[in-house]
Amino acid sequence: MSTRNRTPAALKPYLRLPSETSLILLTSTLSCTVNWLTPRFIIAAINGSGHGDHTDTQSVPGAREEGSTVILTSWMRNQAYWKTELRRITAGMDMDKVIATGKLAFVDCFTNLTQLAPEKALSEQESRITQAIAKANGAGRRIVLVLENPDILIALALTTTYDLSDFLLRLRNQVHSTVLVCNADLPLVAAATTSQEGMQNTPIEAETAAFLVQQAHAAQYVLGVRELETGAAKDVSGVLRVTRGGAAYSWDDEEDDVEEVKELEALYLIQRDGNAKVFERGTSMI
Amino acid sequence: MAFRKRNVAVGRGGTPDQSFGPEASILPPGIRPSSLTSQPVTSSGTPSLDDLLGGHGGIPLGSSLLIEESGTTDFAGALLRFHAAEGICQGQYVHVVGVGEAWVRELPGVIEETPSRAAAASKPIDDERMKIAWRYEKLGQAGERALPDRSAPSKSENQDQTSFCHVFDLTKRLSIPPDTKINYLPVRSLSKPFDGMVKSIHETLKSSPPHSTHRIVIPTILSPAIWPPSASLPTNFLAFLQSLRSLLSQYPTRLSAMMTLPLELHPRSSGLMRWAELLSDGVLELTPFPHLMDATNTASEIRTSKDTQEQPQGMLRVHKLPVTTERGEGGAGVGNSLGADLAFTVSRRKFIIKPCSLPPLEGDHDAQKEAGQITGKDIEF
Repeated sequence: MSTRNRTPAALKPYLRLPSETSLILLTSTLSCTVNWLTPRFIIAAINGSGHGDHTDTQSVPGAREEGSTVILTSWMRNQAYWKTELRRITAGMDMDKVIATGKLAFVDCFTNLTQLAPEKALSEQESRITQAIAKANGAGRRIVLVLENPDILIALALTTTYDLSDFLLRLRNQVHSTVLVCNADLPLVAAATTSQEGMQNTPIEAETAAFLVQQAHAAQYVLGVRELETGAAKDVSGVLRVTRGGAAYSWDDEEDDVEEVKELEALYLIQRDGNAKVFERGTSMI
Repeated sequence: MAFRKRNVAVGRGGTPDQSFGPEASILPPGIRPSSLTSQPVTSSGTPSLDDLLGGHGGIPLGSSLLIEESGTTDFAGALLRFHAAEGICQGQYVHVVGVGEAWVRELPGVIEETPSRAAAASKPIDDERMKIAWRYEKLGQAGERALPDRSAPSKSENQDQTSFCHVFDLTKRLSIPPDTKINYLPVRSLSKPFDGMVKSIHETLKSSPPHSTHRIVIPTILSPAIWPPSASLPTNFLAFLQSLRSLLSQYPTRLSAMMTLPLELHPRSSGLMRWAELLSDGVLELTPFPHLMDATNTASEIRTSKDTQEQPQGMLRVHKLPVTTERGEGGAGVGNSLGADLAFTVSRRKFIIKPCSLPPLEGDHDAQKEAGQITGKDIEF
């Protein structure tokens, strides 16, 4: 499979199995979605990176090569979408087969989201995710939890920032590491920075901004994609920015073996066949 | 023929995006495969809007299109009317949300283009084709980054084009065939205006023949003229859009939706609107020019009559494209109109969208004189 060839070299350090209990935050905007990056995280976690320089766990030798079990939970897209995307990016991976081998589990929180009773929605979804984790635990592989757009729960007023971060902590407690995908459009985060007098933020704006800032502080690193400031271009899809999250700083002092995350700002191009190219500003990509 | 098929396969990386099984070959009327992803697409009723949607040549089924408009005009309504009328002409099920039969009765009528008139209408385009290279001929319609039309339209494909997308006249009224399947979904509750709508659409989908195609039409959503104030509550509005998105994803080959939204009360900078955009598959924004009448009056003195006809009435911006944006392409790629400066012109029969270029201000002699008189005195270091 040509999976590895299709992952841009500049991204590889970030796709390695993250350290235990860590959180990685992926943010996207309306016209620059992070959907090209999420499947690459999933594939890298399933396959295992196999890099020798990052084996910090002598207790479980070879675990890294084996890869992890990924539990993909999606609030914005259904399984058919992820099936298509994973096949497109890996040139032929069959999601159903991978699920059958137990390396991947899909929890659909999207299809029936608004049909649930509002007060029960969160607990119902939590129990389904917990069940998937419990089932995957039997296989003895490490578990990476991918949560795609749970912030819609705030938009639909099904939960509050407080309850949602509690929900996340409870889930993170059960898995090796977590990848969280959120929308970070300006209207959704502006409430965190601007405090215009007389301007009241709506609950969606205030709560989403609070949630995002909180998660960015808890994250080991944040990968954000956004539009070019100068407008759309033919040869650039958007800007990718990797910054250390709040958790990266607390780790540096305690453990030496945790690799430092390099901060990065680069441009990327997604081609029509799903191929991604990441390149520095100013360098032309061929 | 073999040559063309191979060409498509190269662009797609060998694998078609979605396998539809055997039914892919027997597409219902008004549906054709996307030239980009082989996904089934249906016409929006406006050829220049079809060309704009990321190279799909129409609205991909299973996706929704949100058309926002600032100001008090209703240019977006023209697009939506063409869209609804196209659905009726194709014999699709049309679900009309919020408005009643009166709205449907006002839909624009089809112009039956006789062969001679059609030929006359296409003649100037043919002339242009002789002047410019064939692969640039689509540039004028959908922006600089238009997809070069690989399937060079032959005579027979022109025939297909008319059956895929009709020509409508806003001044005429559509004669609705008696067997038209229209599902009216009026606002019933003041506190929960969207209640039961998606369920009703879902039930119609389940009870209709398995190959029938449906389109949802929602005029001026959240407008106080139709909707009660409670409609703009996130628990109502966003929950409706979420369940609509869920329904669309359950019927990726049978259902599409288009809605218009006036931006006056709900600016794009609000969190509510951003979530509405995130939950839609395609987002377009119309910004009509404010002093339309003045502009056309002065322009008509100077310009030829042909130019006056094409005087743009506003700007159009694409914020999100169905399928293409989901994949993260951003503004890159051929046929991608994201971020391009586009202008629209509405006439009786056409809603034309094309790249916008403002001419230099005519009659501004002072500025022109000064521009030529920059001397060393003006630039001091």
